[in-house]
Amino acid sequence: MTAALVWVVAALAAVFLLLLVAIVARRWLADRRGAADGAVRPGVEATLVDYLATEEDRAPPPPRTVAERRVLREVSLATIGELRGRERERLVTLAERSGIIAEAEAELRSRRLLRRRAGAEALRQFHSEASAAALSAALADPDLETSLSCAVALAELDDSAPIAAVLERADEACEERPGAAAAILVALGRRHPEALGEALDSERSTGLRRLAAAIAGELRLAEHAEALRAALEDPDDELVARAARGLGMIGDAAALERLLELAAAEDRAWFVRLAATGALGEIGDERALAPLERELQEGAWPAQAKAARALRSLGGRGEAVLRQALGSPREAVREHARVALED
Amino acid sequence: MDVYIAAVTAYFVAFALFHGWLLVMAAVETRRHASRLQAANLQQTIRSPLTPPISVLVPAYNEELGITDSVRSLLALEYPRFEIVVVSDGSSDATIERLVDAFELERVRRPTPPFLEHEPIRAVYAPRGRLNLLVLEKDNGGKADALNAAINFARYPLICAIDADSVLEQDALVKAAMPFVDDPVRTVATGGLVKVANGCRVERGRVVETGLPRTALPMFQVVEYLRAFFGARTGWSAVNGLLLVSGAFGLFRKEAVIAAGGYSTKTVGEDMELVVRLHRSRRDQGRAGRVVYVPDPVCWTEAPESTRVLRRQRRRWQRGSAEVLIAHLRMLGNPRYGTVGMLAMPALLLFELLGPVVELSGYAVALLALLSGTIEAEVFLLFLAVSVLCGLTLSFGAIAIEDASFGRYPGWNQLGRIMLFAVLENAGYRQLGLLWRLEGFWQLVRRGEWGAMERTGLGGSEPEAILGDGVGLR
Repeated sequence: MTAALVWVVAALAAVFLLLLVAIVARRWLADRRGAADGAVRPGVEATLVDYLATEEDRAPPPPRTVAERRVLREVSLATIGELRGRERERLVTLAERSGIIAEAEAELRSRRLLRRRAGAEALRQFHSEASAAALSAALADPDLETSLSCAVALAELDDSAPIAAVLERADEACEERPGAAAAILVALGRRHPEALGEALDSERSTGLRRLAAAIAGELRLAEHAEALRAALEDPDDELVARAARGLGMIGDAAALERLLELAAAEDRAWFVRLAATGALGEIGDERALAPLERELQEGAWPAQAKAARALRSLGGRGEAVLRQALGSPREAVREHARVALED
Repeated sequence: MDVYIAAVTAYFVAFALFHGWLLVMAAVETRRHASRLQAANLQQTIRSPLTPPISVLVPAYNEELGITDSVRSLLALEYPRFEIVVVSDGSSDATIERLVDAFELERVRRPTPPFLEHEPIRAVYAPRGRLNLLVLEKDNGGKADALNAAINFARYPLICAIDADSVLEQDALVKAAMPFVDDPVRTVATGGLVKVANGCRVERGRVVETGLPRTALPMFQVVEYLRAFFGARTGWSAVNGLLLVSGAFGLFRKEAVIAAGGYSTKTVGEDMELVVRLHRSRRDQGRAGRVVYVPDPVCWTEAPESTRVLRRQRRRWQRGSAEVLIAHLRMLGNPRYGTVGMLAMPALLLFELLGPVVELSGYAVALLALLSGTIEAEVFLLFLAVSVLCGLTLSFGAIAIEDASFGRYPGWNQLGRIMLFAVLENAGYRQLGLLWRLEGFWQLVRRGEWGAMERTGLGGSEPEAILGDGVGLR
């Protein structure tokens, strides 16, 4: 047993020492790098602030050292999310002129996964028009993270040429990474709203159409109301519910008849009826009074609450229904009506 | 006797190998996460129209001293849309009066939603202005009961349960919500990093200066927290086997919590029990569910400074985890429950619940064998060395991950102190912890309190359990 114990101790001791050396070495290297960065950081930050504050077209001199370039990239990435309009454009121009964009593009071609991800992430933040070709090429990256970051970056560009490929990528990813696919559609919806119409096309996967319906509503893209109305006819309950909510947010009165049917459709999922009820309230047509009153009287708790709020938003006649409900024999109905009237 | 010592040594090695594997998983996961955590990414999450709004639930029991600062600090959190729901769980002090005065609350009538059962609501208060704050006053029913009441009144699809005396960093909600944005269908819960606040300067509900505790007992707990959060939890999260989201700070999908029946009031480990039940109910419904640990959002909490409080805490944790295992025994080794059933629950049994028994009995048998001359001193020392090195390797592995990914302990002085205490804990503290956990287990067996409810109220400043943290053989 002694020999076995010696082996175990030796193995554990070796791992422990390795970890100890790794921690100390990494910290030493990080401190050295931190000191180098710290020495140039105030200068880089001051230069950047001056550049962004002035209207002059003259860019500051490019970084002279590796540390300066690294700090400039780090500060730019930390700042760019906060900037808008002209300031943002100027920072992107600076990143292009100082070689940061080119460096990130080169990283996209690296064999190291983390470098590729870092490059894609940087380009996603800057979304420089100059990087369109590199981003398009990297859409086919075998790493999903890298490829999706590139797709978001492309969606943010003015160039509409890569949109078809970007949508394709979003469609492929929407099952495994719905959040990333949604980020692509949000970017498209803001920059190229027409592309959401293609995403809502019945040829696309149900997953992508669900996301597109939600985003078209959230972004209040009225030009897609027709596509959303068409989605109300889909057999997929989730898609129908999202389309109904979207139409409510857009305030599409043309969808009223179908929403009235859906609000009363006993054969559809409860969340479809709930979404249709809410949408009726948001659109604010008085034809919604009857189904909303029915939900208030007969629905489950969340439907009652939503119906009461919707009735309140309908104004005078809705409020009259709520006041009438104050005399209901059912306590929950009375309470919902009272809360809606008081809010 | 030497057979038993050999068996315990084999157990140590199995423990080290298993938790070493978790550390590797944790390292990969932490690196992946850290690479995504750029300021601009957080901004995008904040601006996205699909970022779900959150109801922050704050159960409070006799918290008159700190409740207004806590709520003020929560109201200043950086998140696009959220509300605070404070529940005074039968407080006998001026918790409610302080809140009413500070936030100009007025009593309102609100119907009590029927989703989860809880003790009766006495009153509901809302601000006269536009603050997103709701205060509930209810009969005392314990923390789990208070959280169930808060869930009923929560308006938003995500709920964040925190302790009234916890302090969240400003961007903690955004970071914790990111998995819900990334994968809104499968993610059912996320937990964030909980750090020891002892040694930090806290002003008006905010940590204004970070630092390490000045005394030994909380320093040992800093090492334990590091090992728990950067080792085991991140590793378990990577393989979707996480059994615990800390009660001090956890984010949940409200609909999933309601469908699972809310917090259980019949266990002292309600936070762990909920997570295990979420795993179970999702699998039973044939739906995929992920419980994610995000190794970055920071929640500061005060660690016990006295052995008396620490002992009580550790006994309670051990009881809580035993109760959870018993309540969900069906999941143990059951392939229907995937990683949770086949890996996480067996690990809970083998390493967390049986760990203190095996390790302490190993020390006792080895000592007896040495004294009776059955084994030589060399074997005895080697046996102890295995035990100590197992703990050291796991601690230093967790320190390495933290330092490489976030480096929140700047300066050689802080790093050195943490490493020093990771070594020193082997000289008594670790063994004491094992003894307390054994006591907790024994309490449960002796009193036959399987599943009995303990109404302790809330209060106190104890952080919630660090289970599945590889502390059994620290």
